[in-house]
Parts: sequence; structure tokens; C-alpha cells
Amino acid sequence: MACCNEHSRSEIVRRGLAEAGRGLPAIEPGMPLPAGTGLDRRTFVARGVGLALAVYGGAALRPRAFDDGIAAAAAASPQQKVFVSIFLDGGADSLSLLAPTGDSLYPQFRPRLALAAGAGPAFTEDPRLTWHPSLSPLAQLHGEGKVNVIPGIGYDHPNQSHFTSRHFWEVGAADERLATGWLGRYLDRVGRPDNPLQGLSLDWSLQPSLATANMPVAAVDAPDRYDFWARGVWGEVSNRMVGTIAKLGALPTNGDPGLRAASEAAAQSARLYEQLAPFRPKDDRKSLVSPVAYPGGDDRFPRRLAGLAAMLAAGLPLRVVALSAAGRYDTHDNQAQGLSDDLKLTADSLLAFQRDLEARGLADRVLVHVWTEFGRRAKENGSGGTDHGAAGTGFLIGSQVSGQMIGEFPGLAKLDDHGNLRATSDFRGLYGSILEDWLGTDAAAIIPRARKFARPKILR
Amino acid sequence: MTSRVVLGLALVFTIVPIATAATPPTARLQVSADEFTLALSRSSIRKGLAVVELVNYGEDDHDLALRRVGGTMTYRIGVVHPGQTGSLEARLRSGRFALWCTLADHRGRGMRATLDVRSSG
Amino acid sequence: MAAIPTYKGAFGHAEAERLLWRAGFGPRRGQAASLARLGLDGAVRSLTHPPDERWIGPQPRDEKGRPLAPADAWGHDHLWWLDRMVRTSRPLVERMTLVWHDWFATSNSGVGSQKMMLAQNRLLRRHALGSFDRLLVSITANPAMLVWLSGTDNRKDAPNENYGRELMELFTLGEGNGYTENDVREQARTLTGWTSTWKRGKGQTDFRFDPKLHDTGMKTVFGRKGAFSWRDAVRLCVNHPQHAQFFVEKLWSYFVPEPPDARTRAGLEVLYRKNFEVKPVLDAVLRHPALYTGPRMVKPPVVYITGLLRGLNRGIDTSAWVWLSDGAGQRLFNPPNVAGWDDSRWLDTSAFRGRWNIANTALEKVTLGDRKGKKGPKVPNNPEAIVIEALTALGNPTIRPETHEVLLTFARDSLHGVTGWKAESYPPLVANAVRQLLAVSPDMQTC
Repeated sequence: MACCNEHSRSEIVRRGLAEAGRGLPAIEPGMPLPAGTGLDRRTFVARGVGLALAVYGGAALRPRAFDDGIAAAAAASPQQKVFVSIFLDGGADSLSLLAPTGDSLYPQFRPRLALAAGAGPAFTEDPRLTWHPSLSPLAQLHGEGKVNVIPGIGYDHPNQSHFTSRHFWEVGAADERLATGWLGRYLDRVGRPDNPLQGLSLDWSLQPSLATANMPVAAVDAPDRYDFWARGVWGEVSNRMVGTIAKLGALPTNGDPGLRAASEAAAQSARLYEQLAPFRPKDDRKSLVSPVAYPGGDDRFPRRLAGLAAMLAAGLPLRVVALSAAGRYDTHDNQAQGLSDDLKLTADSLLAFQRDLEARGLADRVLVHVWTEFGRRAKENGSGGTDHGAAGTGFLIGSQVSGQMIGEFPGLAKLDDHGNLRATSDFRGLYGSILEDWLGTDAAAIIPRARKFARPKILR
Repeated sequence: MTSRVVLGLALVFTIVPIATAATPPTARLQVSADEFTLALSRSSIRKGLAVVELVNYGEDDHDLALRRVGGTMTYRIGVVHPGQTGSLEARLRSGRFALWCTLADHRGRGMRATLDVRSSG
Repeated sequence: MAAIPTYKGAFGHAEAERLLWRAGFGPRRGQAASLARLGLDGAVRSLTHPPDERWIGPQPRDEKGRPLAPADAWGHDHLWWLDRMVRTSRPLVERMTLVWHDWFATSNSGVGSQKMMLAQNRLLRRHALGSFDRLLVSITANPAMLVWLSGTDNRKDAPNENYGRELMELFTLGEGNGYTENDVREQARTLTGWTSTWKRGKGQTDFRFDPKLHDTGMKTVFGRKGAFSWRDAVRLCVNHPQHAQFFVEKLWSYFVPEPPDARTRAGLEVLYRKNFEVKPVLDAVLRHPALYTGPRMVKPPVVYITGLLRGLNRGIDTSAWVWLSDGAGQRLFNPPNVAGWDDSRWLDTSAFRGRWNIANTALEKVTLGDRKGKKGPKVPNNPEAIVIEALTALGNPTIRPETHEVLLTFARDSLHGVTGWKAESYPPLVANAVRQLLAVSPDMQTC
């Protein structure tokens, strides 16, 4: 590991993990599609989900790619609703995402950072608010009725530690000790023991909201990067080597729990490898293409969304997916520029993802939730930034959402004792609606004391 | 027959002796940043080649600047996000160095320290 | 202690191998055979009464050939401890240090000083096979622990329950096992008095107990009244009637995956209660039939790594082990939370790939075939020989016949009917692949 200037620890870790998997080229917009299947883009896009699966099975993949678990999962629910959780890391500033340009206190609280009334699109549901110019793509989707804005979401007795507040959101309760994620508990209830893709973390490690007690879930940095490479092994020997992992995992364990755990891990990894086979580049050709253009550049967020859309199109049995948005939102200083760039990349990517799903005929199956651990202090600080606050802003995006605001903008006149926005909706109530109305499961079985929290209407 | 083959192959595993690095020892220093302190893993190091690391244990971004008292050259580690590490490698002359975080008002709030770079020992 | 059963079966290579994995970091080459010759009693005694510490193998270094700087360089704390695990002549001492690190799980993410973490590590090693009573007193006063569980924030005018709660919940009694919320509050008061000084450039330093800061009032803990001191807080826990069972079961769980039967547990409790010494309990666990005849355990990632290196006769020579270990779910000095690592969840699809990468890196120095400017030895087109050679390369681990058969089938299928250039170039590929598959096989992930 070269010890270069300014290399961050996590960059080193990520790079190392990627290199260990040979650092395969990532998915990029405009790549020919789908490599190895002999299908052109048109055919691919035109096919339904179930057919796409069959097409892949018939052409590019070895038959065992569709082993019982995946095939059963995919066949049982080809129209399975998919939930995508996207995290704005660091506490995104509510008063910039939707600027209260019509609130007379705003310029007083934000002498340097306040946005002007005409700086971005007007928010049609509340004349006091203006979209951040970088969020114009979301304003566009909102105009189409595909965004629910949640302008003041949080919980009572807000915690202002990133880690603690994020943990609350991830476990779905204000409980520091709960160790399973809210989506993980959902999978424990409805998931299958043989389908790791049902809970997919598009990250190099598991997103904590997906942590289960029993069911397998998968973490892949990118769908084209889950590879098993060994030094001094290549070609058909390498293919056979990877195939042998499944055989090792299938050996009898004679009731030995330790051996069983190790065998299951091998078997599940082999299965995941097969599930992701369509996304690995072959013969130096890029394996994925998107019907729409995603933002370019180095950031992994748009590429991950492009890969996710392609995975859904291929009929992979995903249920819940979690990833982090582009950028970091802990804007204690010099907020204006950094926030603008990060929001733009995030919003451009989200719009591309929605258009991609629409082009592939998948939009009715996918609900995206964008969240952050808290908003920021109403008054800006002395460094051109803002400090940790309470209620934040979130979005639900998809073709099936109601398009109606959830809760309301709490206003700057009624801040809490610490000068923070008060929540007008509770994340646990929102989770309840997502679980019941979108994922079709009993919220009370997933969210502690679920009945206590009012459930907003989220769908059409 | 089989055993002869195995023997032949086993030779591969003779461990190649590791060449001892002939380079002079590198001084190492770790600086832990938190809101709003800098803590050094040692108060003095030898002059010469040094690797200085900044580990951010806090919740906000931090960076690090080093300058010898009376000197003109400022060494820098750029912004390090929470939970991450940055480093620099530099040849340091002996003397007293000031270390600080250049972001916002962090220096004034306590993120500063001194380091002695010794000429010997 | 006739009540505790002792293993009476044959103590051969397989038993010695298991003992070396459970009570250490796996056998060095030939070590299982030499341990087996000592018999069960001699083998266990060699671990519980180890020779003076000496280091077997090359000095550790990073990939640039630099010596490790455990207190001053990111990741070197982790490498420094891995090196001890690889080279120690006292594997049980090192393994017990790891057990205590998990038991009193302290993370540098909350402490913010590798130096303080290393000091705690020395403390844990000093008490590795000693008295739990004294270990608990020492760890309660340990600076890293005082920072991690808010010991220095626990003031008599504003008690912080963090340490008082974990002292009972995680360290001595188990959640809700024989204490109340009121006991938590009273223990917090009992533990007041710790403080430190903040110095510019040093951070928190000069950790000490200041009687002036201690709540000297009457407290009621476990139904007993007294003006208890912080040492009393510890003693009350160790002498609590539920403690011995908690201790014995928890210690046992690090070595044997299924809980002890009632007779064994009772016997171990009697042993432990005498004077809270760890070694007699450990000795009985390591001689127990359940260790040799019971099911296998998944190796923790650092045990997996260091065991591979011991089998390969390789030392620490790259800092890649830091992120590789992290990628498999275990970064030393950074347990996930105060409850330590979850031994039931070492393996998932991500961690399995992490272990694949670990095996791949462990084997990198002995890769066969095309090497820059160097022609490796000729690998024969002989599947049987290739599998046996892979076993030799990895230190002759015991594997199931079925696993052997899968590897052999792989080698046979890969070499079947190959002619021309493939006949020359495929055998080393197959040999490399067999080693990799062997290293990640369920047999070698468990012990």
C-alpha cells in the first residue's frame, strides 16, 4: 500500500478491495448491451423481466446460473416491488435543499448562505420554498408527480451525533442497542434462505440498514466487481476453479454447525457470483449499457444506479437495496460550493435512474427513498457553513408515489431549544408506510412500537 | 514416484531471505485530530525523513499544517474526513515545529501543537 | 475436580491440530506432530505453562521494508499484533489476549490513540492466564477503557452509567442477570472519581483516581449497603452469585462451540470460585472431550490469516493485512461495538470474498508458473501429485476425504486431455488453483 499524500484510509481500503478483485472496469453509460447475449439494446429493453431472465439463461450463461433459489425467487414474484434506500451522508442542510426564501427570518439566519427566491425552481406545494438549483432534476420529477417531498422529517429528542442519529435511522428505532437494520428485519420476515440478492448493499461493505439476523444478504461494490481471481490462474482453469467453490459448499456437513456455516458462505458466494454473471466484463468488452445517459466522472453513485437498473432489467430477484449518494453533506464550512456540486451529481443521477427505469418498463416496481441522518442548524456558523441540526429533508421518488408533500415545512419561527428545525413527520411512521403500502408487510412486526407513529400516505 | 514429484515441488517453498532495507530509518509520527484537539503520538522525533499521519477521530473534517519555527516551508496534509487518515512524507530539519489545523477557526479553538525534531539520538 | 470429564481418546495429529487452532493460531509446519507426541496432558501443559517468550521467524516489516511503528503509523497496531500471533512461542497467551480484547471490547474509534490501545493490550497480555479479579480491577482503571466507556465523564454531580452498566451486562453477569436498573445507577456512583488532564499536543493524559471527585456516600448494590469504593464495585460483581456461571460459560464459548453440560459447568464453576484464577478453568476446558469430539468452529479472520502464514512459513511483510483483515470483518483494536465481535456471523458473501482475497495474498509468494525472469519448477501433469503438493504447501492441514476428492476431480477435469501448449502451461495454473481452493475450503475456514 503506497503511502501517498492525502490518501484517506477508506480510499485505501476500497482500492485494495477493488484491486483484489482485479479492479475490473465499471459500468459506464453508452456501453454496448448486453455483451455476450447476442441481443441488441432494443430487444433487451423491449423484453419483459421474466423473458430477460430466460434470454440470459438461454444465451450467455451456463445453466447452473439459474439454480433453484434464484429461479424460484424470480419466478415466484417477477413483479416484486423493490425498495431503494439512498443515504445523504453527513446531515444534508434542509434550508438549502428547499430554501425557505419566503420566510422573513431566513436572510437573518443565513446572511451568507441564503439562496435568493429566484435562484432555483419554485416549490409548487409551498410558496415559501425554493428548490436548490442543483435539485432542478428533482423539481422536474416533482412536476410529473413522481416525488414526495418530506420537508421536516426526524424524531423527538433528536440526537446530534452523526453516528447515533444515523444508527437510529438504520435500525428504525431510537435504540442504540438494536443490532439489526429495519430492512434486515423485513428480510428476516419475508426473505429466502437461498437468495443473497434479496438484500443488496451497493457498497464495499454492508449498509447497516440491511443487517439481518438470519437471512443472507449481499454486499457488492458494484455488480461487475464481485469476482474470484487468483494469482497464476486464468482462462478455463479459472472458470473451473470458481465453479468448484460451489462444489466445496455443497459437500455434506453431517450436522456440524461450523462446517455448515463455512459451506453455506461458499455456496451463497458461488450463487451470487452466478447471479452477477451478466455484469462481469467478458473478453475485455464492457458488459452493461444503459438506455439513458448517466453523469460521467469517477463517482461511483451514478454507475451503481446504472448497474442497479440493469440488474433489475435482468430479472435478478432484488427486494431491498441500500447505497450512499454522491458527496458528503457535513457542511461545517464553505458550504455553498461543495453542497451545490454534491447535490447536482446526486440529483442528476437520480433523474437518470428514473428515466432508465421508465425506458426499461420497470418504473412501477421501484420506490426510492432519499434520507439523511439530520438537518442542520437554522443559523449559519462563522465559517460559511452550518452545524448539526435536527429535522431534515427527504424524498420519495418513483412512478407510483402520490406526489404529495409529507408533513410540512416547520417554519423558522418555531425552532427547538437548540435553534433547530422541529420535525413534522417521523421516520418511523414513514417506514411503516413503506413496509405496509409498498412492501406489503406488517409494520408492527418490523418497527418497534410502530403503532405509535402516524403513517403518511405515500402512494397514488 | 509420487513422493519424488512432491519433493521436487516442495523446493518452491524455500523462503527467499528477505533483503534488509539499507535505507536509513524513517521517523514516524501520528497526529490524532478531534474537535478541537491535536494529539501527537510522540512529542519529538529524529530529523531526516519522516512520515507524518493525520487520523481524524472526530465528526468534522480536519487538515494539518506543519512549519518549523523560523522556517518558511509549510508542509500540509489536505482535508481528512471523519474516520479517515492522510499522510505526508518529508525530510524535516531539526528544530521546533508548529502543527495546526487550517480549517475554519479550528486552530483558535485548540487544534494546535508543537513537535521537537532532534538532531540526534 | 473429578466431576469434569477429560478426553480419553487417542491424542494424535488431528487432536493436536485442533488444540493448536483453538488455543492458538494453528500449527507451524510439523508442530502438530510434535505436540501429539507429548500426549494430551503434556500438550495442554505446554500451552498453559509456556516457555519464555521468543520469536520464531523474520522480523515484521511493511511492504517498503520499514520496521513497524505500532503507535505511530496507521494500521501498524494491527500488523504488530498479527506478527505476535504468527511468531510467538506462547500461542495460548496471545490467544487469551485476543479473548480479553473481545471480552472487554474497546475500540480505537472511540479512544483515538493507538498508544493507549497498545497499553491496554499489554495489560490484557499481562493478565492473560492470571486472575480475572485482578484483570477486572486493572481494566477498570485502564485509560483506554476510561475513555471508551466514559469512566472519566462519570462525575458525582452527573453520573455516567456507561461503564457501570457494561461492567455487569457484558463483563461479569450478563444482561439482566441478577442486577437491576437501580444497581446500574448505584454502581455508576461507586465508580466515580476517575479523571484525566488535557494537555495541548497530548490530548487526555495523566489518568488518575481523585478521591475528591469520588461519591463517598452510601450506596446499595445487589441489596448490600456500604460506602463502596470503585474497587468494591468490581469485587461486588466478581463475588455475585451469578458471576461464576457467566464467566465459565463465556470463557468456554471461545473454545468450544456448544455450551457445556450441567456437570461440566458446575465443575468449572467450583474451580473458578476458588480464587478467580483463569488458568485452572482453561486447563480443564482444553482437556475436555467436547473440544476434541464436538463440532467445528469458524476461525476468526485474524486466526485464519495468521494460521495461513504459520502454515506457509511466512512472516508479516505487507500492510495489506490491515485492509484484508478488515475486509473479512476483523480489524484488531476496532471491534464493532462494546459487545465485541459476533462469532456467529463471521461469514457472509462479502466476508467469504474477503477470505478468498486473504488466501490469494497469503499464497502470493509461492505462485507457480510464469514469474518475471524466473522459470519456476516444472509442475508435472499429475492431478494426485498436485493435490498432495498443495497440502504440503499449506502445512499439511487435515481435510475431509470428500474435500480431497473435490480438489482431485477439479485437477483431473482441468488436465483431462490437454495437449500441445496447454500440456505445458496448465499444470502450474491447476496447482495454484488447487492451493487457493484448499485454503478457502470449509475445512480450512473451520477448526
